[in-house]
Amino acid sequence: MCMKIRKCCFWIFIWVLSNSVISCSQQNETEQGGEAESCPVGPEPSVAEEVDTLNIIIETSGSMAGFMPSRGGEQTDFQMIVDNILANAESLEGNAIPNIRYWSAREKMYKEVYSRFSQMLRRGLRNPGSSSPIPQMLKNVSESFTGPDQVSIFISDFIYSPPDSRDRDFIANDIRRAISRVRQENFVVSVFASQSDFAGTFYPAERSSKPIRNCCSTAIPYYIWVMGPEEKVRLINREVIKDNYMEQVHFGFSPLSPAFMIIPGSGRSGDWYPADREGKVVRLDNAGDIREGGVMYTVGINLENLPGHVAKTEYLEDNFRLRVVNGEAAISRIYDRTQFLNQENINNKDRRLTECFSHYVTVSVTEVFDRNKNMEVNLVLGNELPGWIEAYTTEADSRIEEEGARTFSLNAVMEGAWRATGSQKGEFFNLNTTVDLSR
Amino acid sequence: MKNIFRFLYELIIGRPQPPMETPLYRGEIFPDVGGITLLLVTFGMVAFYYYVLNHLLQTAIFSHWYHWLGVLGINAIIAFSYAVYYCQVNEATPDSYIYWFGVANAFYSGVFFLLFSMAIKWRSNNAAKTPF
Amino acid sequence: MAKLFVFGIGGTGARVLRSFGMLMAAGVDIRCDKVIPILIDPDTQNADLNRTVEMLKSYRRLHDVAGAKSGFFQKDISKLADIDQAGAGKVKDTFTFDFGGINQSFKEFIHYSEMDPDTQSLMQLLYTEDNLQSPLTIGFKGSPNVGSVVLNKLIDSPEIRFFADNFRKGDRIFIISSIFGGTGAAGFPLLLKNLKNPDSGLQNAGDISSALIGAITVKPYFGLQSDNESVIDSNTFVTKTRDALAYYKNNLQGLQAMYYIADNPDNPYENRPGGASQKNNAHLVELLSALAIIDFMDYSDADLSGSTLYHEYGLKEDSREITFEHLYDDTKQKINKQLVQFKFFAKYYKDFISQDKGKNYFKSLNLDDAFANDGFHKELRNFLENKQWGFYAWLKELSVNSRKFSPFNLNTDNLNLLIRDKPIGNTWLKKGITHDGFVVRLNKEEKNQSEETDPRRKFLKMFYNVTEDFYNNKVPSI
Repeated sequence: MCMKIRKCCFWIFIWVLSNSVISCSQQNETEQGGEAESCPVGPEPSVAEEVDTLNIIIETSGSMAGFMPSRGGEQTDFQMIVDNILANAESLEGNAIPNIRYWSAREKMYKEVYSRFSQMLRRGLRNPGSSSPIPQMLKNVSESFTGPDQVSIFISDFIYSPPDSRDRDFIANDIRRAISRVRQENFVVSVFASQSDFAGTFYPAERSSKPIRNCCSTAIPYYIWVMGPEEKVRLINREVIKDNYMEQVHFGFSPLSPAFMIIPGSGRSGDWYPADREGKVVRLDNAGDIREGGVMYTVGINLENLPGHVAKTEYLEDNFRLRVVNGEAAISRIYDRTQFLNQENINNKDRRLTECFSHYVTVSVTEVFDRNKNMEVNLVLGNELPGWIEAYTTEADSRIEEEGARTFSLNAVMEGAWRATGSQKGEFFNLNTTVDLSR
Repeated sequence: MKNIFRFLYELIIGRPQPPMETPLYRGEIFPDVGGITLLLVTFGMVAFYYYVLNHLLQTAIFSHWYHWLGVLGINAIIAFSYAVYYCQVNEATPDSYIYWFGVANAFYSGVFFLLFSMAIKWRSNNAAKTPF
Repeated sequence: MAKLFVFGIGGTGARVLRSFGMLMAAGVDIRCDKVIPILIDPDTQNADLNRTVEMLKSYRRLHDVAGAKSGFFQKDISKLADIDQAGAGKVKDTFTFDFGGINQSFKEFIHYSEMDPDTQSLMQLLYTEDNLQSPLTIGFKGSPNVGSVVLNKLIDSPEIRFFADNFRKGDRIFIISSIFGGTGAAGFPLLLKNLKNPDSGLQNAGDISSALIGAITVKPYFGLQSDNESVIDSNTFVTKTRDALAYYKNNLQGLQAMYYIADNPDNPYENRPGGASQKNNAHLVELLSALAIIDFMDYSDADLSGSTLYHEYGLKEDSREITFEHLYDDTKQKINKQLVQFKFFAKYYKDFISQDKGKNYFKSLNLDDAFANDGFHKELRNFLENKQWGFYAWLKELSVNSRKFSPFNLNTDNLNLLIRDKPIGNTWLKKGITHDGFVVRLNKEEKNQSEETDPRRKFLKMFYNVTEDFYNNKVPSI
């Protein structure tokens, strides 16, 4: 009798024990919520709160009159866009931008009152003046109209005809000289290209050719240069220019460090695993895996702060390169977020991470030289002059109608600007990942 | 300690799968599950068997090898369940590895149960010779 | 150190020694170092004798294992040959007296045919024709007149000489005999007379003659069925007793203590004059007689220095069926605890231990193997369960004899009901004795006895201690 009771107690105890384990586990499960994992953040590029003075400068020589025709009828794209820029700037006047000044650039700078300036833009440029050469103007703008609290927006067609046709080959240097005089710290230049319908006389850069009247059936390019200190230019780019140009190029900006992370579970092969919380190190227990099956990993990068043209997959494909220490590796694919999500079998845990990155680069490691040392794999995005510049360039603009929307020796102009600002040693950024073979 | 558990588990079930979960398993799941089930729970169950059932209760009816084996089995079930449960709580990527890990944990719980038994059974009044 | 020589004469002597052996097995204490029983019975085929001898042999083997501190079987009971310090090896290695060479009739023994006719006529007056013709090998069949002549020769036997050689000052002698039979009635006075004779020519005769001697004379306690054919007639027991007592009154000299015991015969035994068929059930009187030996040893030398002490035994209460309740405290103190302990041990050993495979103590002592291979356990089982002379048989016989002595319920499997009329309470608050409880205590005891290296000795000690604990803490006072 007694024994039976004891045996009973024993099994009851066991039952209670197992039940408590189960219920405990269920309870914990409800307590565990989906805790939102925050995205890794890189240092944000600094953007000024305020620009004391914004100079809006429009070249008003004869060549510009076609953009602002005084004829009736429809407004040109140029008129629309520049007016838009004015409106954007005005909306900030008194707040982020206490002072907006308006200038027209001819053989020298003329200060304009807003009404006249606006009138000129909307009703047409009735009295175009003669103009000084582009380097002259650039020099003038960069030296006198930018400063620690000044930013200039300079709008021109940037058709530069050197005084002598033999000087053509010096265009780049002329431009470089014009800008590199600026002694200002972190002086940068952003160039946005656009094109507009044109109704007026087109003055080819080639001095030998005659002006083309009643031009043109083709669109003519013009350029908006924003110059000044880096943070303030960023503000203007963002708030006034609104960055929504397909073609843009930036000179003199400091290198970026976009947030990036190795995606642990997707776009991968091989037995590696992330060795750190930050996701910068891939660890392999067995270095032999690299030779056997290859090791692939994907780095998620947030390129949202980069200039628009850079964040294009085409640009990335052209300019991403690897710098590998102690081994060999190659980029096997570059995706934007949508492509990545569509193509890859995404690990559920990575879904939260994919919110954080705009682009994905898959690196495949194929060889390691010294198995006792780590491999360094640096993802470098080269800062090259973008491809559109060539497309906007012509060496002969006397037959502009046939050439299309191109600008004489634009590539040389841009190269000059590029070299003047000593741009970023050719890199936008350099992302350092490590393949840890220490095990 | 971490490395001991890692060694034990990977000895029979291999590297964590999928590999991305390696730090989770090695850093948290292996040591936590090992520490709790293999050391704490198993020791508790062994102590329970030898010093509660077979000592404090003043009865010798549980001293047979099959009672011992029964408690070992229950311990193994706890070890399996806890291992799987812990993987789920830690949101390890679902994989058959989780269940293999449970099985390995159950296996080692048996081994530890035996080791602890050998270590502490001698003081038990009624089961000092159980299981042998 | 002091030894006790116990002479058991005749069938009664053998039966008393059987009970004595059982008491010793149970661990009843006797104040001497060594007991040397010497069974004197010319009837070597006597079943009672042989049962006792077998029992004593078995006891001896068990004691050799148990040693002096195991509780049970702790007292050394040796054969005469075992104490031979000179190593002469002159005597047979047995508990019995060697009457070799008397396979002849009494007539031949006294050389009747060589006697002159006058002497022959005297012989015919003193002895019946039956006396003269009967062979001596079956004893004296209730004829002390025959026994006294034959046994007088004893003093010349090698056994007595051997006994004398090994006798030391301080040793004591106890003589068990019946007064109503043949061998005992005749042998006792003769033996005493010879031992007390300082000029007997034996070694150490001086020490022997001055030794402290106790004796019990068992008066009739059983009857025999009337059988016209038999030479023994129990109706003559009383007459013979009376005559013998009269003789003792004047002729027994030099006894320090004399014990008498008797009972009213109730259920007559089968009439078997001797030989293998003389096998009588153990009787309470024999058990109580055995207590006389123990009692004798309780007296100090000084207590025994005066005139002869006479003792008789009485029950606290008359009953045809005796339990512990009917004994006086003195007796209870001597035997109750030990018998109860031994009974628990025997019961457990017989009926429970085989179920304990897998229990801690069982494995620790490797009992599975020991039961199969260790001679000790075979011996122990034999001692307890032998159908002829084992402990169970002894208890059984006691309980069916008349008067019955049945302190235990022999047919129960409930340990709490083992002691008759004294059930052990088994309640929630106070547990009785259960199989499981027994195991728990044994397990614990096994650990306590960790210093004992001999597993067999440990085994006995464990059971002794556990049953002692039960007796002290569970068994109601009896």
